[in-house]
Amino acid sequence: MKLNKFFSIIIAFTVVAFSACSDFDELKQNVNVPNSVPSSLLLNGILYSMHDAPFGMNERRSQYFLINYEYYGNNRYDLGSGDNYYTNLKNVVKMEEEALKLGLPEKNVYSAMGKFLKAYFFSKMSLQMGDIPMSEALKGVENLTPAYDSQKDIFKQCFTWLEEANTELATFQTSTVGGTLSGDFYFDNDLSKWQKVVNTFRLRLLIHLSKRSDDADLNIKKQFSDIVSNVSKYPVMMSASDNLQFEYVYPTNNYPNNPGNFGFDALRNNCSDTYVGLLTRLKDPRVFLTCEPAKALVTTTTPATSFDAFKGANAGEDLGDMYNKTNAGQYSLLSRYRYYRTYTAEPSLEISYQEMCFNIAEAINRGWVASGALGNAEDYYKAGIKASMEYYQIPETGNITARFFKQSASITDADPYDVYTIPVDFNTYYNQSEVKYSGNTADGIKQIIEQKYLALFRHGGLEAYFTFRRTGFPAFGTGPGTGNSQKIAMRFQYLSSERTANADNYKKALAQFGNNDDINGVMWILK
Amino acid sequence: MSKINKVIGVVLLLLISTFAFSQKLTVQGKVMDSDGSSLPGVNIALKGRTAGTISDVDGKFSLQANVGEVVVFSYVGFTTQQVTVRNSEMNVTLIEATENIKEVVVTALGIEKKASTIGYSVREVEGKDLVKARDPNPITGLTGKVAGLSIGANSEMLRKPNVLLRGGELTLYVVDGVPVSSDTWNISPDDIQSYSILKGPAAAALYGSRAQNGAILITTKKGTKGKQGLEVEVNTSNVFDNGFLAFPRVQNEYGGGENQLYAFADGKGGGLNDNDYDTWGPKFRGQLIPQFDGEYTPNQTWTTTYPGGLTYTGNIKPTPYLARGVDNLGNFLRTGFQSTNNISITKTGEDYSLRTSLSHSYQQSIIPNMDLNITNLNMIASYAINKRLTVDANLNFNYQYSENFPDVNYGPNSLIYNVAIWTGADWDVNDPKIKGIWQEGKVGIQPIFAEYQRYHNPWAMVYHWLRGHHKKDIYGYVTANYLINDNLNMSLRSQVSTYDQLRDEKMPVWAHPYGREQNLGDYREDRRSLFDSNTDLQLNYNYMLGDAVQLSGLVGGNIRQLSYNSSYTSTDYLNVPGVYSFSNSRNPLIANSFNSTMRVLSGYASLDMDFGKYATLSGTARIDKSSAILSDNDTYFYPSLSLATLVSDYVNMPEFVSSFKLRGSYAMVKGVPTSESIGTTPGSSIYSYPLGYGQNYYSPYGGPTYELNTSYTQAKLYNSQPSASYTNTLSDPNIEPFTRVSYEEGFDMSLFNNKVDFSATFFQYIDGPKILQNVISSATGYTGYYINALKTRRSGAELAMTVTPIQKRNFNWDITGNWSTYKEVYLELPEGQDTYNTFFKVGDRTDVFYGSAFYRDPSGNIIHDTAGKPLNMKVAQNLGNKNGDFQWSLINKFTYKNAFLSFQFDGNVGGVIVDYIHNKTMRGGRNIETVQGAFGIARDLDDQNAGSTTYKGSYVGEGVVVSNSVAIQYDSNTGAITNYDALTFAPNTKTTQVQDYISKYYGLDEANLMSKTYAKLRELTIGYNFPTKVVAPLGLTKASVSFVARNLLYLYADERFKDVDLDQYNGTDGSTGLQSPTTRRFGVNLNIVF
Repeated sequence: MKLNKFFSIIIAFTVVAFSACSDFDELKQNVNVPNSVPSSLLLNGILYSMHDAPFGMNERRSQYFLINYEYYGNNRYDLGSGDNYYTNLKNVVKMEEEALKLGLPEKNVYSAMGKFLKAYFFSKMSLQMGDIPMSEALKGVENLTPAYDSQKDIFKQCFTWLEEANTELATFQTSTVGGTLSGDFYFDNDLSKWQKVVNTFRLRLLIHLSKRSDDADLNIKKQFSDIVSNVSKYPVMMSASDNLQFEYVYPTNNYPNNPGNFGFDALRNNCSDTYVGLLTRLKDPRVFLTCEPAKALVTTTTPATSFDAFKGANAGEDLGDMYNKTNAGQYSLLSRYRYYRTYTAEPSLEISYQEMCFNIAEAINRGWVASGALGNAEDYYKAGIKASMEYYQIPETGNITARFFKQSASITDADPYDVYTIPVDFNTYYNQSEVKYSGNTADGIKQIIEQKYLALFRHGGLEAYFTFRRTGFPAFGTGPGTGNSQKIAMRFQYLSSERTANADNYKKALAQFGNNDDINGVMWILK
Repeated sequence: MSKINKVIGVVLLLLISTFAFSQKLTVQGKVMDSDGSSLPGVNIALKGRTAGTISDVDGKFSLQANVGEVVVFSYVGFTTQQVTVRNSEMNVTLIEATENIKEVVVTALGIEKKASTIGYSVREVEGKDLVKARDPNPITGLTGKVAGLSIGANSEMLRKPNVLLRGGELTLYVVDGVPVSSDTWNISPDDIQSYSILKGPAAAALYGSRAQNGAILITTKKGTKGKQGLEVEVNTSNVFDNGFLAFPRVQNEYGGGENQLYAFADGKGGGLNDNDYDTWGPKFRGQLIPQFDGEYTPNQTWTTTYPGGLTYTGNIKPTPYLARGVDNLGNFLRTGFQSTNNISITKTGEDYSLRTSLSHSYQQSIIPNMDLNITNLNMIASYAINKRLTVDANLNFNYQYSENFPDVNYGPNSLIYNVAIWTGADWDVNDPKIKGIWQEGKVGIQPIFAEYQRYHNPWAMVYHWLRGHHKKDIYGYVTANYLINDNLNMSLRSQVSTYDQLRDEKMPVWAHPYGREQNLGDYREDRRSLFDSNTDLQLNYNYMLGDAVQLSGLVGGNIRQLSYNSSYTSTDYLNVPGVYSFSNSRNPLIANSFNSTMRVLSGYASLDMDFGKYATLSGTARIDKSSAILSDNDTYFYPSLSLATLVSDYVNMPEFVSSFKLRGSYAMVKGVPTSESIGTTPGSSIYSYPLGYGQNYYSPYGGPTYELNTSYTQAKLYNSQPSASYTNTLSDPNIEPFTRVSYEEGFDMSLFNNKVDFSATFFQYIDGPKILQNVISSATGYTGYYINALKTRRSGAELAMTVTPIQKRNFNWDITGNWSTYKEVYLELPEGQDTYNTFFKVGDRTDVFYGSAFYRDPSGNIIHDTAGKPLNMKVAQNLGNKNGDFQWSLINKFTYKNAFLSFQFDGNVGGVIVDYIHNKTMRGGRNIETVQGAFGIARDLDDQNAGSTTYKGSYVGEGVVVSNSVAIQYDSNTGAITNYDALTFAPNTKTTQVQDYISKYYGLDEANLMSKTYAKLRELTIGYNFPTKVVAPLGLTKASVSFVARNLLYLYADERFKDVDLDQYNGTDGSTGLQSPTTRRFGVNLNIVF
């Protein structure tokens, strides 16, 4: 009898316990994070992730700026995996989904931005690695092994996206049907600015296909000339105020070089001859603003304001030698005044008016289009140089003030700089034979690319490296310091997950490069 | 919770309503040893109840009991014995404890079982053994005591040991039958009666998935001992840390700087390599060099000329460059000290027993101004309300507090980093200027040091950069035990384990650790609170089935409710220096919060079938329903089965075999994604950490990880604007709990009249399908996908042997040896994959270490590039296994009359790990090897040419170069060179500077790879138990004193790597970290019983 009572207690206990779970499913939720967010928050994050900050591997790949301290890195072209922008692209997809949840129509401001962002990230990855998954990508578990698309198809799709983005962004400027954009810290949600970015970016992509300009499917030349010759349909950047640029903000977003890390980085990196050598050869005043004279080269006969006082290291130099010479004051360093004095040195240009000028100049030189709104190739070439000079606030004619770090000064001193006034004159500069545009010839291409290289100093991520790969300009240094048996690598390896998780497609993709994930393999656009 | 309370209420009411009367006896008898001598002071208790008594001087006792109840006799040094009450007379002979196999051991849920009936591996360790060889941590003392249990003692104060059982992290500590959230510091060693180590899932099946790696059961001391029922015990232990075992091996010939060049201007880059430097500065030759304490005159300059011709001109007057600070680290550290004092009072009456214990432990770190206090209060009470109902209650309060505890993690926050790796002997830690800390007129704002960019004055660090730790732990339970009849007894237990913790950091304005380089100071608080409760209702039964088979076991139900709340708040730099308050934040506060709850409902049952002398078959079953898994597959069942047979009881054995037992078990455990520990308030995951420096402190948790939940993460990426991103990991919506199946076989054997005991256990764990975050193609938009996949098999063996070579009346010598091994291999990879985690195939060991390695020619010479630097392989290579091949220990114990002596050696054989201190000290130029041999000769030459632009170094790397200028080609998959045929090799002749060569060479894992083979003389105890006739006149019952030495010797073969003590790296770490030098420990322990 008693026994039964006890069993019934146990049973009652168990029944109550197991049924006390009406709220059991609620307990399973993670209450600390949202399951849905407004599209604007996703846009904000995606726009942040699209910026390429200066200082780091990209600048070494582009040979602007080298590291001389083995402990922290090297200048070798032992390229590993390219960048994984798929996770950003996934956020683009989520942004589009969340926009629909908010009740926006299928075509809306976020989907228009999404098209641009897809073109931006997919093309960036393809430029690094070659063929990559695109049409079957971003499907989550619905397709765990996405097949690779050819580089040609990727660019084709990117151009389609950019065409649609242009059209839609134009529409949504005059109609509210697509909703209003929010979360954009570049242009404060101004769609007209983004429309210019879209077309200017498209010009960049088209120029990357210079070796494929005769491809019948892609129709590169026609696309380029359609844009350049129809500004009302395809508005492009008109001045530096249209630049897509990342502004540094203290204290949340500091410039990568700043007073806080001066001590760590200032001596362990030095300028490259590829950059400084070009500036001094062209007697370019920008050198006084971006670089320091090499201490040991400044003598009574070679003042700090002499171009001879500026010297960069050959990127191929052995790190130990470069380190020694830097220590001995043989190489120019990054300008302390410009780059280490504040936390917000200069905005990073992601897609810029000046870059566009050089791209159009190149297209005219190549005969893709006869002229543009500004005129002929030389007009664009000059406009590009001037825009870059303006960026450094170098007047067309007048003086610039150069400030070089004193010997044994401290960054925290009230006045650690020697001040020099240097006269500048654009025409004098431009009329040098090496600078003055030599016409729509191969030499003209070289001049355009060299000036574009100078204008892209600290900007645009790997643009200078991609352009070198395509044109060979400016000549990059090689040697033991650049590794890879004295060759500049032509591509990045595929993302590491592909080897095990997408093995069959990965192996198929390697056929492009002799069945090896070879950094010296030549991708389709470069053939 | 309210529902649970209701249930408890109902059950208690029912319990009270069913009180009934039964026949009670007064049992009387005498306890003797095998020689027939009477045994006084024997604990005599009724099984399942705490009430009991002790035998008097003549060994006599009397107590009230019911027929059929079991009386338990236990006495130190003797095997515990159980006798069932049949009538009022009970004479008992206790057997000396060497007869292990007859012992009673504590098993899951606190159930005591006869060792001979257990079909799985359980090991008991007496608490008193560990108290005498005192270690401040109650678990660290178990090192080497149990085969298969590996304790990686941490060399830092307050950090928990890495406790591995059969290679899996053991996280379940059960005190008196109830699971306790433990960082191991919240249990007072003085309150521990015994440890019972449940080695595998079979042993611990009743605890469910928390016990998948086994469990440590702790039985606390209860009131029973002492004459007249009152006993006062005092235990005091004082221990000193002195003498280093493993210490960074540094050179004192060269100072800070780069390329043998150095001149101080401001310590922030104004001079010549006067900031963030290596120890690659000039040689100490007494030459004049501007230094940090040189005289500064604004308008006067001095020029220093370096041997290679380079000159430096500055405003600081050069002074002789000398090794002023030889042994800075040793001079900075002090003698550590631990004092542990405990007093316990026990009162036992006929129907109650009470024990109150208060412990205080004070630990002074070897690092100045760092200490830790632990106060522990334990109360345990048991009273019989009537003949059938007994109530037990226990409350343990533990308060750990430290105003400043060490942080050694790599970075400028670490003393080791500042003193032993990145600065040289050019400054002296005992220099009054350095020791005086502050610059003139800048008290509290700016200390004096040799450098101001990256490194910190160590005195300023320990006295003014404070990290506080305050943790209050409470655990306790109330149990009501009701004896229904002779066969049934029911218990209801409610238990809580809870803690509240505050950790704070006061970072001064002069501090500049990684990620906080602006020298503006910070204040942070990390607050955590956990509430974890278990309510159990159990019915224990015991029936005879006919004459031959005894059935016993239990059925029960459990509700576990867990809630956790934490927050992390930090200033974003300070406005006013020295004010550590959130209102003083310069920029908006950085704050994060986290809340989680979990409920687990369980039913469980066990059945032991005892077939007399032939065998015992035991089975358990458990069903859980947990809220910690997102899918609907939240209810899961798992069984276990074990068999034990004492063969020697029914088979004729040779004369020398005293007993022989065979055992085997099978168990399955299932579980869901929970984590036993949690880091700083979760950002993106419960393991994420908000800072760029220091240690992510993990505290006990046991709750959901939410890793299967897909959601958005918010962040402020740009200018404090909100942004969000979607998860990078997806999960299968129908995911199932993970599974572990274990098989265990073994035997226990006693030979030569119990002079030799030998036991062997073999186990196999089949893990999987797991809940695996499998790497998926990034092109999917995600990086991971949680699925049920991957199977591994861990197999191993454990051997233990105790030999008693001498056993005389006055002299006894025991030797105990333990040996264990295990390995884990991949059995089944995720579907569609032929490799896992880049390198692994089916059949591969899971602990293979893939690390960076040198390119070599076919004869094994390192290939150098045209600059004379070694070439590293493009793909990581197999450098060995991370786990050791086996672990061993050897314990010798001698007793002579009242004196005893014991010592223990233990160690590990095999396995590899990267020596991180070696990597950093070599590349940083501080390691002594950089001034020895060929490096030393070349380094001296480098110094003689310092500042020359033509000097190309003197060191020639040993190896070859490609001499026919053919480019090396390699396989992008394996990294192997594919065109050896086309390459010709010649010896490398290119000279390089030592700094540059070493930086490259020692950046590779292969160059810093150390063997994990080592041994320790772990402990040495010499003691004396004062005879009763000596202590009795002093009013004492017992007194003993012991002298203890721990970690006396660290035996390691390769001198180069003796800068790290391998103790704490008993797991599968690929690399060591920074470590405070480990020390020898000496002390005295005094135990007095009134």
